[in-house]
Amino acid sequence: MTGVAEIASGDGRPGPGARPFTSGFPVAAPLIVILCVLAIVSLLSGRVWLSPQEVWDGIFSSHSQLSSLIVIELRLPRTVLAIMVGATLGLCGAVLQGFTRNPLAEPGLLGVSAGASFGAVIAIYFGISLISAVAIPVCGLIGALAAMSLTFAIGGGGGTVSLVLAGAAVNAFLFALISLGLNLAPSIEAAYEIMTWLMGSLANRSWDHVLLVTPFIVAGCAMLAFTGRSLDALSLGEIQAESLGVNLRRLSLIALIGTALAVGAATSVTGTIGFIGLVGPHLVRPFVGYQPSRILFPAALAGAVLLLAADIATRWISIGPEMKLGVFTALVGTPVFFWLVMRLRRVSP
Amino acid sequence: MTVLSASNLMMHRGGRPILRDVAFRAQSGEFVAIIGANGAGKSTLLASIAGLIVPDAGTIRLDDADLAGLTRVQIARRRAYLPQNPRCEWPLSVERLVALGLTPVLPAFGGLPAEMQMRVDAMLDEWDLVFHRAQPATTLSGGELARAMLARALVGNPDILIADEPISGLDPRHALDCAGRLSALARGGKLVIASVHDLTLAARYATRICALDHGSVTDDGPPEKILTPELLRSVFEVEACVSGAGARAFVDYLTPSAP
Repeated sequence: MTGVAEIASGDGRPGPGARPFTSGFPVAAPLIVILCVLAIVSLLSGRVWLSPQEVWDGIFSSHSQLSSLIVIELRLPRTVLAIMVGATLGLCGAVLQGFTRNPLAEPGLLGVSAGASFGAVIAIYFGISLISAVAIPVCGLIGALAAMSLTFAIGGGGGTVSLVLAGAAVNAFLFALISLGLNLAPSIEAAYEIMTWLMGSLANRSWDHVLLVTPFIVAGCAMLAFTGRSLDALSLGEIQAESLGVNLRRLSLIALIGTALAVGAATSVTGTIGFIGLVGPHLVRPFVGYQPSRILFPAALAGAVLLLAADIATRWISIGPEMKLGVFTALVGTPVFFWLVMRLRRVSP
Repeated sequence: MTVLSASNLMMHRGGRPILRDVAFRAQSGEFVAIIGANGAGKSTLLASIAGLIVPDAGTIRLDDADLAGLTRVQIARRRAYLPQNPRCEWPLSVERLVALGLTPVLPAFGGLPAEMQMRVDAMLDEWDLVFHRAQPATTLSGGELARAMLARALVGNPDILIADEPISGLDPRHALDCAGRLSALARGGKLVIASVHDLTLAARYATRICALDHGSVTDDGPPEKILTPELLRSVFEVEACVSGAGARAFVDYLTPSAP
C-alpha cells in the first residue's frame, strides 16, 4: 500500500520545468521487501500460530512432525499461490489498462475469468470435482481457453475496441451460464459449493494445485511481459502506434492468449478475486511516470503484496467461518474503487 | 534522395469511392500541401501512402521498393506519420513522449541508449520544449502539443514526414511557426507531405500543392500556378480572392459559389 499516500497527495502533474519527483523512485525495491515480510508472516499465521523457530524447523528438519506438516503442506503452497496469483492479476491488469488505455480495465475484461469460473461450475455441477482435487482447476483452465477462443472468434483481428466488446459479450454470456448452473444445481449442497467456490479462496490449496497452474502462469506472464514496448507506443493511440511499427493484431493476440493462460490458470485454482488487478497498477503508476512498460513489473509486485496481505487478513479475521478471499478483496477494494473514480474525475481533462 | 510514388490508387468505403485512380509522386526537398474539401479523400490518401491502410488497388513505392513488401518497422524507420489531432492518452512526460518516436529503431531489449537520449535532448532543444521536458504531455497547450508531436515524429530522423492537418487548431502565431518549421524541414532535405486547410499558409510555405476533389487529383504543381480563383471554385465551391505571391501570397474566401 506504499502508493496510496503518494497518489492521494497529488495528481502526478508537476508544473513545467520541474522533473516529476516521483518518476525516478525505485518502487520495486520496497515492494519486494514488503512481499518478503508478508511471506514470512503468512507462514507464521493461521488457525495455529507458529513461532519463527517452528517454521524454520518445519522446513529444514524432519523432527517436528506437526509444524512440518502445517508449514510444508498447507502454508507454503498457499503463500506461493497467493504470490503467483496476485502477481498474475497485477501484471495482467497493467497490460490490459495499457492495451485499452482505460484505467478501469481489469483482468476479467476479455472473458477468461468468467470462462474459468464456468469451467469450475461445470466440474462441480456434474460431480467431476469428486474425482480429483485438481478436477476443478483442470476444468477451469479448459473453460478459460474456450472463452479465449470465443472472444477471439468474435473480436479478434480488429483493434482494441472490438476485442474489449467481444470480451464484454463473452462475459455476459458466461455469467448467464453460471447463473443457469446455479439455477439448475442438482442439490442444495452443489449450489452451495458453486457459490463458495465463486467467492474465491486460497484455503486448502496444495502443491498439486501449484504444480498444475505454474506452467500456464509462467507462460502467460512471460507473454504479457513482452508487450511493454508496444503498450508504450499505444499511449499515442492506435494509429500512431501502428505508424511506429506496432502490429496491433499481434499485440491483441498476445494480450488475449497471455491473459487466458495466466489469469485463466489463476482463476481456475482460486475462484474469482476482484480488484487486485484493477488497483495494483494504479498504486505504482505515478512512481514510474505513467509509462506503461515500466508499470508491468511493479504492478505484478503490488498485486502479489495486495493478495498476500488480503489472504493473511482473512486468516486473522475471526467471524465464525473463514472469510472468503474474494469477498474480502471486494469489500476492501470497493472504497478504493470509489476513490479511484473520484480521482479520475478530478484528473481527467 | 527519397522518392515516394503512388499509381492507380483506388479505395472504396461502404460502397463509396474515396480515392479514384490517384497518381502521386514526391521526392526529398519538397513540402507538398494536400488541399481539398472535407471528405475529398485527403486523410485516406495520406494514410495510404504512409502504408497504414492498404488500398483496394494500385501500388505505392518507396524508392524502388513496393510498400506492400516492406515490414511495418522498415516503413516506420523511413517515414513518420502524424494523424489529425494526435493526443497522448497517459500523462507521460514530454521527454518520454518524444522518445516514443524512437520505437522503430530501439534495440530489442533494454532502455534508451545514450546516443538516442542525446537525440531526444537535441529535439527538445530544437522544438523549444526544454522547459516542458518533465511536464505531463496531457497538460500541454495545443501549440505546445503540436510541437511535441512533431518532435516525436522527427526524433528518429525519418526521410519522410506525413502529417494530417498539422496546422489546424493552432492560433496564428503557432500556425505560422509550424508551417515555417515544416518548410525548413523540406529545405533541409526531407520530404514533407501534409494536408492543409489554411490556403494562405499553403501558398506561402509549400513548394507544391496537390488538390484533391472527390477522390481524384485535379491539380498538382507549384502554388503560384495552382492556386487560382477557378481552382478554388471547382474544389471548394467558393468564390475566392488570391493575391500576391511567395511570402506575400494571400487567399481569402468571399462567398459560396452559386450552385
